[in-house]
Amino acid sequence: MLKVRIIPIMLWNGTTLVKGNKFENEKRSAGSPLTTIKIYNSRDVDEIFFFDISRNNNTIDKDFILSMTDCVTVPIAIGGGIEKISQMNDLFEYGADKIVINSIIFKDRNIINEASKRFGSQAITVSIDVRKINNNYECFYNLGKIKSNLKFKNLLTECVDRGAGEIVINSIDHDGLMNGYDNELIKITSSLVNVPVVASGGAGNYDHFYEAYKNGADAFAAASIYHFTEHTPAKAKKYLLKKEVPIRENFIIE
Amino acid sequence: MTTKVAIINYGIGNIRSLYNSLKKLNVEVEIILNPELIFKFNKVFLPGVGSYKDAIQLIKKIGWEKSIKDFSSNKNNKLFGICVGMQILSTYGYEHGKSDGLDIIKGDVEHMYKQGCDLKLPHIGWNSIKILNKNLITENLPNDSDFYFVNSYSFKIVNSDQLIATTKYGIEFPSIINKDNVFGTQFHPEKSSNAGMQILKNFINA
Repeated sequence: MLKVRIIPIMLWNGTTLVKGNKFENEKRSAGSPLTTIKIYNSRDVDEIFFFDISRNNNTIDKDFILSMTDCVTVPIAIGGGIEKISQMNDLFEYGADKIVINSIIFKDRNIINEASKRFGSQAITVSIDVRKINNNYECFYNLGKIKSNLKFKNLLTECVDRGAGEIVINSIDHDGLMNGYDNELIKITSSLVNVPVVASGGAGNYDHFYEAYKNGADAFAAASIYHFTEHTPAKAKKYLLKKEVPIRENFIIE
Repeated sequence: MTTKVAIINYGIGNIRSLYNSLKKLNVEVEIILNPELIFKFNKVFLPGVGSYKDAIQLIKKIGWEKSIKDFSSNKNNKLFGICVGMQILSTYGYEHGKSDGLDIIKGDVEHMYKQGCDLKLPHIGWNSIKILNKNLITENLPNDSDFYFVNSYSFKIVNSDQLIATTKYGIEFPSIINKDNVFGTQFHPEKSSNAGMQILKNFINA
């Protein structure tokens, strides 16, 4: 049986890892990327998301990316400011398993077709940042700064039709608050697409993962919960296993 | 003496993570670009991501087809195909149209929807295996161990005794296959944490 995935997010501002908070004030340091990624890799996570929010990554820092990908024996998805096939190509070469694209899809959605044709749709994840305004889900880009006129549901299905292999659905309203995911948003998303849906934004305890699971999430991405609480991915898994959620139990090498 | 293994680089896929995983097992690893070099080794990995068609076209274009076949026909050698690297061991593949595979293990690679799968594809993530036949590659691994998969196509194997383990996702499909000295996993051992390391270790120690 396919397992749901526990995915810690690393938000990188070019200098340090930071904690997200409704996409604002992303200044609070959350540690060094190398130390963090080694800890995650040793702690039973199912996958790692690394997002560069510095917007200085027009050229990919090969040594930096390699220093991280060399430490992991689980899949790693890399995103943040990626707008070109050549950047994706470099990142795959430096060890990324998936590329996460976001802002570019508001300018050029053909890149989804191009990228999924070239690298396979399984390697192309589209992340959509959403904010609820007057009971409507509206899409935002450029780190949540610009509102798009595109309709959320149309955009979602269009991305999948064009070849996105996975959708990360991120609630800006819930981001960093640790009060739980936007479960309505997860429910709508998973009912509209037939690719895996990764819940993001708002997890603060293990029950939030369970709620997202019940609403159709295939994976739970989270950052703050691991940075600033006693919660760990391994304990999250124990909790979910007890609730009979399909979870990967790590094999202990002798 | 350290074991020497090679990874075939035919211009596709993420070889580095496999390289790193093998390094952790204290083996000497070489990435080889020239089909002639394969004969310097007796344990070789054939990795692969992307589409069947792209992979097999590159294999043929660069002249790997004959060297891989010659290599595997010597029973003292061992070959390990990973993901698309396993799929192209088959007779035919149907991704982006029909293409001839390496025809080392009899079978076709067909889209999982065409085989009756009705779940979301691609099949991405951690899934368990059911071990059907005892094999050196699964030694010390508990049944139901989870591995990391990324696939929409799966191998329809002709000889069921070459089926070592299967995985269920809408359909039950081969996740580990073996014919004599040729092994294949549909999952990525190099991305499968400790369980994956155990598989790689088993192959190296074989």
